Amino acid sequence: MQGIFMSPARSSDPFDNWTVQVRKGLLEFWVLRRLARGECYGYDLVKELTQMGSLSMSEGTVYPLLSRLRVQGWVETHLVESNEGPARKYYRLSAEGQQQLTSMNCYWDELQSLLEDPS
Amino acid sequence: MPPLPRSAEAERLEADYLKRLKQVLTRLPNELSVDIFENVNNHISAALAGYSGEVSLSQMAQVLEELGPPESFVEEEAPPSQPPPIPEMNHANNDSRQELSESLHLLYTASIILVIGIWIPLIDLYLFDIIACFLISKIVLSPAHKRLDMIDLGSSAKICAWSLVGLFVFSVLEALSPLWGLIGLPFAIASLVYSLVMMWQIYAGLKRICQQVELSSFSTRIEKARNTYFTFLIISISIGILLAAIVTLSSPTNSEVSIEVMSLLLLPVNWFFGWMFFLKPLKDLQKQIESPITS
Repeated sequence: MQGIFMSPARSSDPFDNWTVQVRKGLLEFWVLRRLARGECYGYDLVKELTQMGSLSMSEGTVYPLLSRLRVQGWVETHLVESNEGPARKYYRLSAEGQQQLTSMNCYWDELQSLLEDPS
Repeated sequence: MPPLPRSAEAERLEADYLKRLKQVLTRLPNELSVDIFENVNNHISAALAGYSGEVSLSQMAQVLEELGPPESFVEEEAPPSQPPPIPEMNHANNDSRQELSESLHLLYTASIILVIGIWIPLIDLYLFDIIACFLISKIVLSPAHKRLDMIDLGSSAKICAWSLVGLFVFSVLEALSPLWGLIGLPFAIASLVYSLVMMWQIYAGLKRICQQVELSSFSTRIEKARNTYFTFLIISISIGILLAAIVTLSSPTNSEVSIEVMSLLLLPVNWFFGWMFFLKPLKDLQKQIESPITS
């Protein structure tokens, strides 16, 4: 569940601290890119994220992020009744979220090219 | 579709978790906290949807363990101006560690009273247990020991203490008529159930403390102790039921003996093993927390 997530306050290993910061920075980006492919059931989205190897994050990180994205207006939710359990909350990218994602993609491309050619 | 039914213990565990979650979420803006709470609530239901029949305590515990402690939901989102949700314990703050060490010492003392009480033949063995449960409740609910963060344990300990009081009263009355012993049976069941709940809450509380003071190795020990205890519990319940059945079948008029046998095995024995299996880790944890202060 926790993957290799460790809060910087808890780890004295510089590499661990660095990976934590990288993952935190990328998490929002990943969520928006994932939702750009189509709406997703919240529980499934969380399960995907908690099992993503190097990028895995705990539920304690993902759910607050999803709530924040919704409050910010970057994602929208709607409920779908289900015969197999509680009503399912589906997440999708809002128009504003799409704009943000476009900006993030451009920035990401720029970062990648800088990293590939530091000179 | 209505949610899956939960066993009483599972429902209590879930309610405790959600109550704690609500408390920690108050650190966040209302809109965020409401949304996160709703998400976590739905997550629990969705995770349990895979099970059939009544959700058991262990199934609920597994789901909640995978979710992580309620505090983890505010660690990232609490505004920078606020202190971290687990303040000053990550670093060797002597005052905080001293306070926690003293609180753990008191909890350990109360637990010793409980364990010794089981073996002192003082009127059905309950008096020391009653004193210990009230003491535990007083300790964990006192503001002076807030660092233990075991408020839920305080409530359960109180209920358990009063159940034992009831059991004690009816055990004494049983001398007048065996019927009183039967009437006291619900108190026996209640004290057993709440002793299990207390046990779970203590283990959960100690694990939280291990996380706060960054002693993950102790967290593993606490978990092993908990698993060993529940294994003994299952064994003792099985043996109790088997022996009670044998006694009843061999001599149907001796149903009171069966109940006594079951009471003996289910209540004091599993309490004894349970409390013994966490006393040592508890004491060692207290020493470990103390050691940066004295070194």
